[in-house]
Amino acid sequence: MTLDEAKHGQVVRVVQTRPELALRPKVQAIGLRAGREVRVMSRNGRMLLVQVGEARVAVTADLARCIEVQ
Amino acid sequence: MPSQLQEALSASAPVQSDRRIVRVAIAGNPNSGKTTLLNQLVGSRFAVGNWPGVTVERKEGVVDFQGWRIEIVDLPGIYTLEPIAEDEQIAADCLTRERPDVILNVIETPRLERALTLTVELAERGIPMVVALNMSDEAQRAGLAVDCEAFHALTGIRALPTNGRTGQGVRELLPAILEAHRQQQRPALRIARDMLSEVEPQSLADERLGIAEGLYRAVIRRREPQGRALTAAVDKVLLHPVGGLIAYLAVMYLFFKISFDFSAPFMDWTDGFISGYLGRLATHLLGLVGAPELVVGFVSEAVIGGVGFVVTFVPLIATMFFLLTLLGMSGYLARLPFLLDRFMNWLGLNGKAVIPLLLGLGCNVPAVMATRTMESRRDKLVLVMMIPFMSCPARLVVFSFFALLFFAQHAALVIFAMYALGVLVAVATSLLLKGTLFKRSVAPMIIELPPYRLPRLRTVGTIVWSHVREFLYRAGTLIFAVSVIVWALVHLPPGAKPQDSVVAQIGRAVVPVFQPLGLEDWRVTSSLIPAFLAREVALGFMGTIFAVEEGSNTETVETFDLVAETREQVVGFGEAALDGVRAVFSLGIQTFATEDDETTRALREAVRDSFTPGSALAFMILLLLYNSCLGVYGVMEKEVGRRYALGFLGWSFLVGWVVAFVVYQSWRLISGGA
Repeated sequence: MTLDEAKHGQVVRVVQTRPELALRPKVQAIGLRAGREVRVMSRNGRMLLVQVGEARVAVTADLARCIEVQ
Repeated sequence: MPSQLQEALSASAPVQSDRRIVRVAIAGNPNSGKTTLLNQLVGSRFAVGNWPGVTVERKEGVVDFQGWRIEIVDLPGIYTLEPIAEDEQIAADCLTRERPDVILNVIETPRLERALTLTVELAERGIPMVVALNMSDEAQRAGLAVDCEAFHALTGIRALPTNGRTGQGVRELLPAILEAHRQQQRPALRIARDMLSEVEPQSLADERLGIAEGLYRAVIRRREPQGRALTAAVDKVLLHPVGGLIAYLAVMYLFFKISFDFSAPFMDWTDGFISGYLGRLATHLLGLVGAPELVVGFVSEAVIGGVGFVVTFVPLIATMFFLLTLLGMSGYLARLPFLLDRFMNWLGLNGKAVIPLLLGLGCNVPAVMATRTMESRRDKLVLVMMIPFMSCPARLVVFSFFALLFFAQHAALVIFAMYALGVLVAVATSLLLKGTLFKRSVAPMIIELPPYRLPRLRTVGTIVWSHVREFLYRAGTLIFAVSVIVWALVHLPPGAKPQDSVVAQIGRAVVPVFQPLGLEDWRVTSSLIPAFLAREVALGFMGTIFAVEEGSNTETVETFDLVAETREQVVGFGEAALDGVRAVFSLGIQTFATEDDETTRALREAVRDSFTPGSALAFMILLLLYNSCLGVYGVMEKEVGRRYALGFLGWSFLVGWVVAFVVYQSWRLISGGA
């Protein structure tokens, strides 16, 4: 599944960020990359707030759809 | 550009090692405290904040240390050297093309793991490096410690803990920078294979990420965290889909209420202080030395009437910037893209656009520059076309004057309506562009939310002062110059009455353009011309003309008891402070419910005679919507090019004129011709 399908409070592990994602280098550098655990903290419209390590990151759903998780 | 000059000098230097200059570039992730460190290192006062994207251009500072001249350039924050947004491009270009002597990599220690990705990428450049482990106090509270020795052993880079807010550890950076430069300590990553991430790398970028993860695991030491997770708890409320919006509306209400109510008694005091105290003191002293009437007239009309009139609004501007800086430094501003993304989507933009728009409430110039953080050129263009409609304190100065004069009972409502109209026109402009020139889907967005931080009063004070100084500087230069020119033109040709002067002729020439808006008085129409330089100039301009026409101010003050009058001013200031605090805790917005000072009453009466409530509204609308000022036009041209900047100028004039026309004519119909 992709990150945008993860439910509130769910902890998932990133499998890969799709290469077609234009912001891929930035997304990976911020911490959303293969092997990392991500917790969905909150949702607001198309926005997702996730906790990655020590960082709190807000991503749009279209971007979260390019991040495969399990 | 000092660094380019030094580059040229160093190129011609016979022996490279004799050079006593070190060029340092500060690089790091957004919001890691780079500018705060630069301010600490060189004693500069660049604006800082707690949101990603405070710095969108390079900033430079110089410090002399142990016989060396250390030139430091602060760069916008980046996550990788593969830039997307314009501000990131500026940083990447400096690091890859200009090749500084030393890179000072600033790391937000609580988020070390993320930061090390950039560190690894920077280390590949082969440039001597020093790492500042900034915000070390926050890391400590979060239970994180970094083994600096292990870091040095694994990377060949010296790492020093720093605290940009208190300055702790900052001075130690300079010897480390010099040492790295003198001994040409280039980074040398010695990460063993078994330390790397378990994920098989697919690309060079993956390999870097793996090295960064391995390095993180090798140097981090975890301890028990101190204190509670405050940020998570506060976010539960402030980022709640419903509760968050209510909190946002409350914050904006308080922002305006405190801005108006707290500053009103101080403005009243300043008004009295300038015209009733300084003005009388000056005329008294000039009378004592037997100054000619022309000089007395110049001081009371051009200096007190023009400049003093505008300076009265300093308390309002200071309060507004104080609150805006608090919002920025606390970390609240950085959360608005998450909260308001849905609304911004409707306008065809992503949530990030909210930050430049809100900064526009402070000043449009940095707000336009802040659009560099937008990843798409289309978003940037739309945003730049919206920002000048966000009303700034310079326009508020004009609104508050007119609102109080013509709508005393509903001044707060009128001012609120002006702000709302600005937002509405910005929204309409965006929707128009979305439906015509810039049809495209909304750009995706990723942003990091910083932790909430308690702003240091000293830092906030420094930022507020820099804005107030800028305003006073403009009052002392631009507004003073305009006041002097106007004063001279009102007296030209020699011996002519004001209504036959040069200004009157210019004002009358443009009357046909503004007549349909109810603006027929040459004193009013002529003030619209210099208002293009800066909004508050319109008031200074009118202040001067009306002061000259009034003419009574040239009378010398016979008696002036310095001690008694000074005591009265001090007591008055104390009362103003009390009133200000009291007003903040009252219900509703009081807005300048203060009595006129005797000296300026005549001036206000004269302005009142030149307008009807309807034409006053039209005048305010024109000043709200027709491009904010010369400074904004300049920065727009720089950011989006002359074609778009001129296009905006035309659009904003058209919108301003049409809206002012509709409002004035409607007012006339409703009020039966008034």
